[in-house]
Amino acid sequence: MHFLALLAVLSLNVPQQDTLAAARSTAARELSFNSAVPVLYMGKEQLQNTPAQSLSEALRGFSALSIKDYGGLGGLKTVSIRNFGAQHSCLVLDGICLSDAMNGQVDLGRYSLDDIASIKVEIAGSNDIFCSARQLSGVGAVSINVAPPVFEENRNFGAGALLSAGSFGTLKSGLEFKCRPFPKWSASGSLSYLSSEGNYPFSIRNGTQTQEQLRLNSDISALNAQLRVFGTLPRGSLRLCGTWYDSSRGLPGSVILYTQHPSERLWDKDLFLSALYEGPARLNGQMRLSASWTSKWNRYTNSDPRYATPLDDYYLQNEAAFSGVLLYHPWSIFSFSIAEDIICNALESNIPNCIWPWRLLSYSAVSAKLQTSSLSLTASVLASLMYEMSDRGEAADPFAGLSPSLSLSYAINDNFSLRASSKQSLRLPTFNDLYYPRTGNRDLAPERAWQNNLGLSWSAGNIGASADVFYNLVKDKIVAVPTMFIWSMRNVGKVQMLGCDLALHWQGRPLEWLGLRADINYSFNRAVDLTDPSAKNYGHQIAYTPRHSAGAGLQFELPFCRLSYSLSAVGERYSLAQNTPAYRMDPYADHSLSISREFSFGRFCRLQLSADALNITNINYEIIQYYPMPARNYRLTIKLSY
Amino acid sequence: MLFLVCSCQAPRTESPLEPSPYGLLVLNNGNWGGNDASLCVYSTEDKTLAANVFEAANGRRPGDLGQDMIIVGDELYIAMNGSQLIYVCDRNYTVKDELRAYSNDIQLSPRCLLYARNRVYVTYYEGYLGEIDPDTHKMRLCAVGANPEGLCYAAGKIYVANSGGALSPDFNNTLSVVDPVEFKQVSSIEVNTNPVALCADSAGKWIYILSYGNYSNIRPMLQAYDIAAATLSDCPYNDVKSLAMGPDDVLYLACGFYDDLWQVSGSLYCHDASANKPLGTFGAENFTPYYSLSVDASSGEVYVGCSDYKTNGDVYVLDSEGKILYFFDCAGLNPQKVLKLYD
Repeated sequence: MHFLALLAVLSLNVPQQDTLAAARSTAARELSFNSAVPVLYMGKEQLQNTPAQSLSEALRGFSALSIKDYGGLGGLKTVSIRNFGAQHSCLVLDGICLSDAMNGQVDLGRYSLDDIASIKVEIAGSNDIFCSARQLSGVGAVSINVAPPVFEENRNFGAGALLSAGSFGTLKSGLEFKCRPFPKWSASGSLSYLSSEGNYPFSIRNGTQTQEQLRLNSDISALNAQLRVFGTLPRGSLRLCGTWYDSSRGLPGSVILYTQHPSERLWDKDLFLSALYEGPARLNGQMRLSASWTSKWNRYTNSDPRYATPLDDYYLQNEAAFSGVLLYHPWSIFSFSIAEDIICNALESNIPNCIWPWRLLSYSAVSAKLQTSSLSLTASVLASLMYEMSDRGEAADPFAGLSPSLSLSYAINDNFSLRASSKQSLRLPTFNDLYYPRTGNRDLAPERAWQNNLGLSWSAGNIGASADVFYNLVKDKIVAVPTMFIWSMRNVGKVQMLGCDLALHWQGRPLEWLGLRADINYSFNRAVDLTDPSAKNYGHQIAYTPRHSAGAGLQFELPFCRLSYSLSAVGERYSLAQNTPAYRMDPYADHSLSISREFSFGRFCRLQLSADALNITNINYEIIQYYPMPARNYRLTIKLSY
Repeated sequence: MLFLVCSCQAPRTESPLEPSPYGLLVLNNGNWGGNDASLCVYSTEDKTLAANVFEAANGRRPGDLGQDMIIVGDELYIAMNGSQLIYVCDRNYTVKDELRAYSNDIQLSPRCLLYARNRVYVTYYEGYLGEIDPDTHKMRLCAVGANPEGLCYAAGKIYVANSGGALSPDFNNTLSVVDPVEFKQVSSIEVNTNPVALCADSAGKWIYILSYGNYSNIRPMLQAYDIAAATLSDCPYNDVKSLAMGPDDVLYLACGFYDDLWQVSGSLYCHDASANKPLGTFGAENFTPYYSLSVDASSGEVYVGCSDYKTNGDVYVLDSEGKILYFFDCAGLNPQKVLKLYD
């Protein structure tokens, strides 16, 4: 259906609840203004109104983040903070760090926005010293928060259903429920199924010619189930979470000129269980304890005729993680915390010469915070210990390292706040880096990152702005390099980053019938390779890193509907280390629109209709070269809740 | 005397310099999946580089992974492994024909080319040898071993190196012997693991087999196969990475070693192919990061391609005595093969 037609259908005049209160401070502005480190935030209201439906789509609105996206619903999607690389990012789901010990990056594509209450991204440290030690290990943390269910009046039960249909044979259906069987215990759960043919058309430029093709083998089907229990105990609170993700997808691979025979498929079965307790500790302290279990099973097949027998590989990763943090406030202006994370990872596979490695990881952190009405000073030291084992082969040597961080913010007056931070972090080598047959290198050291940030926040009423400049260094980069006959992982590479992030936020009601929220951000990042002064790429911008990127979100609240617009704009990049015109990738801007409207039936029944038009300029831009993104596409969603 | 010519700033779509009929034709392999193979011509007269001559002539790029090229009469054959086709171009690099091979509806991926018996032979990685009639461009196929790479013609037979490269770690270790008349495999020869390149002496007495081993406990090796005696012997070289036949039955070898920064460096050796005897080192230079070796069978000029896989490669040109004459930036990634052009 044409987008304008949808707009007309949805323009029926039914009163709409006003959710954009004029001139009120938002959590986003408060977080940014007082923060000692740069913070990006999206609350429930923004998430509901954005055209984005998945976590990766939502994060693309932040210019300080770069989302690697191989295109289509099934394409791998990872987040990189200030272009450090996805392995440096820490993804936190409801206080529990997610990880992937095999390749070090978590696929964002599987996380929809349906259950998410807010997204918070902290860069170069954390304001909150009451966090897990592991959360301090990266260059920043992307935290996904799920709120306990809210019940209207005296109800103890609620349910909902969702049906979404989109271009390229995409269909998503889901059921959700919430209940409160006991006054202090509640639960929420959801079950959704997504399927998409993913066979979108694309055009690709080849010299003076333009070729029109259809993306093949880009289908996906995925089942996602979640159950959460929230309990209030006599002393503290408990959260239990269980998720199950089961998917099957084709891997279309890169577009190869003059031929297209994709032959790869991937299956995932992921189980995630977690329990998190938060409550008082002795000596008037606070404690948070968590335990989690993650099982990731992947099967990869490749029926390429070059293989005499098709590849049929499986990988099973298991992770048991325990985390504890104690927070004390000996004085009103001073607090400190002690945090410990113990993580055990294991990998097994049927690929030849896999040594089935085990890893024992320990993160220990001591943090202290001085907080006055105008000054906030935070210092942390993180100790990382890694011990590897294997019964089937030689394991890497143990590793131990320290990563300090320091941050401060100072409120100059009611309108201006200054912040500065410096942080060191380590990116530990993954199982693939260390042990992948032939290319793995057991002698790898961690990749080292050093971040320095200086920022200024300004806030006045319903408008706020921030500017941060940063200088970062990455040493001992873990990269694949050609060796005598095969490629091997090595610690070679030094990257220097110099840049700035600018953000502007405004929220208000310019007209009585119009509520408006605007978020605009821009990032500049000069990230250059300083590895070898004699190399042809010395001083060149590193691959896939734009100098300029920007994001914008506009949300209009009209009497009859909500309208939102989002923009993700990325400047020119190079797909290769040497910045020659042959490897230059064109800038792109992805504009998306969404319109939604809610109807109420009776006291409890609500029907929400929304229509999204994504990438409305209809350009098959590429984030990864020769992995074209879908051009203009549409999505219609019906959500019924009771 | 060294010359450095850099045309890397020229956009792909811009018309390059007119390619010189006297010069060096370089096939850049490109990156896997990058569709960035390219052809350039270095003029030995005015020391300029005409980049992307294929694209300039045809308005489109050659595609993915330029694996090999040979000149047959007035035609240039280019094997595109990733794009799964063979271009037949005229002297102006304009495509005259595109040859695609199929077996059971599976499109095949060409690897190495050979001209012999007035025919063009090509190995296909899916396990086939192709024979192309240069007059009609018609092709026939015969099955050989797994993942064939290099090939040579000697004593009336085509020899094909079956690497089994896609079967890692269970690499192949055979040569297929193909009768070119019947066009079918008649026998096989067991050699070291993972054979990848073959050369034969002019008398058809010896075949030299370069194998890469299993990248673990089986080492790379150069072996000599005595066709008449059907015996195999090891040649005294370590870590041979490439070989190419020059004039007068001189076999040129590039052996790899690591430099102080763990980059792969290449040093050159000569071997008397007719007598199966080492002739010692060729020149005093080491080439870092080493990538490829080509030799002009007429003049004896040697071309060493250097590449780090992330920046434009360099081609070093050596005279028949092993002295570097000059080098140039080849305006593309991974210089795979160099051919000297004669008018």
